[in-house]
Amino acid sequence: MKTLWQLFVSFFKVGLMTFGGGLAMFPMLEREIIDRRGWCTRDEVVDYYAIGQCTPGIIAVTVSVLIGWQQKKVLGAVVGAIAVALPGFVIVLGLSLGLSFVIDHPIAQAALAGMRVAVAALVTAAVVNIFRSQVKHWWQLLIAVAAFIPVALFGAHPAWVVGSAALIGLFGAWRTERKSKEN
Amino acid sequence: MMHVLPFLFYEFFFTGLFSIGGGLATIPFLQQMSARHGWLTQHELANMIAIAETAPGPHGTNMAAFVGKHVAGFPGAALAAFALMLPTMIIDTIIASMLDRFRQNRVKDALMRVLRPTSAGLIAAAVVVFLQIALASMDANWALRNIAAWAGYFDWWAVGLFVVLLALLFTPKIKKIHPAAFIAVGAGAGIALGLG
Repeated sequence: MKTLWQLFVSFFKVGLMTFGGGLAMFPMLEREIIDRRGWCTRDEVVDYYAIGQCTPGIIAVTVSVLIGWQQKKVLGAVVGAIAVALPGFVIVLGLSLGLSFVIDHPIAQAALAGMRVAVAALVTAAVVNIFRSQVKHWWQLLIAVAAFIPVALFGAHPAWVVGSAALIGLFGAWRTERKSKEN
Repeated sequence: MMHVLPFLFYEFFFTGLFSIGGGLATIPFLQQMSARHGWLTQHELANMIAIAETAPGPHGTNMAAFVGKHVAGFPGAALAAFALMLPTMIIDTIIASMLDRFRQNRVKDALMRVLRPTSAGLIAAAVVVFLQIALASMDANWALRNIAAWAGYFDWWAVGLFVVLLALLFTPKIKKIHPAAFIAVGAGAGIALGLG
């Protein structure tokens, strides 16, 4: 019960402080889930983002479901997903009730522009940290660059990139298995 | 009102099942369902996307809440957001249990060795979009062909703020400050500098 409540509180906080969708959630997850709660490692969260980019649905919900399941199985998955969506849900309903004039005000627009810059800085720092922990050999850098270019420069869908990478990984596994049998 | 709820559920469940790769991938589905049922005009959709992206949290569920509210009030909002999440909850619960079962598995390990740097590259690609939105008004394709004209497309106050915040994020002790504090500082600086 205590873990479920902690899951709810942590994911509610992550949902409330994430501006800019699934990826902007990474710095908040790092702080709340990895550093503060110690529920999973940065490696695992990076895995979950890979899964999120090639499975149906919203990435933020995918990541919350996978972390929630780790803690409390199906109940944890449901609580994590609902808690991360709840703050935005309430605020959107408020804005749709006619409060949207608030965000049309020039001061609010300036604040939002500044927040976008802060989010850009946070996700840039997060990416540097991810590369520090994930990319240690030249072949890992090669894979990262090969994934980056088609999506960033040519607008390819990330799901194709993850799918191709999975095939390459499986081929690598098959070759290692075969070699170990020959020897 | 009640008779639209089954349609709302079906449309958003379908969207959750077939939109791969995040909230923005749901937009074409929202356009199609709005045209099919006459739920929102193109103009209302554009406003809706702006509001959903301003609010915190996942964009996909924010947009679903907005459309659901517009069509069938509060029950519509709750149903649409839940229906959108349901396929993800089911599929990823299955994936999570498989990951758990194959914890010590050579094939899974080989797969993850390739998928982790791939994921890192994809996250870096998404960051490019964040930088474009926050610092400059140009898209990557255009930027590749018009390198000489880059300077005019940057908001240099925003770039300056970005550099300062990024430097702080790599300063010992300061980088331990909660990310939400950085966003609050960004909001204050945005007002002070008159960004936007």
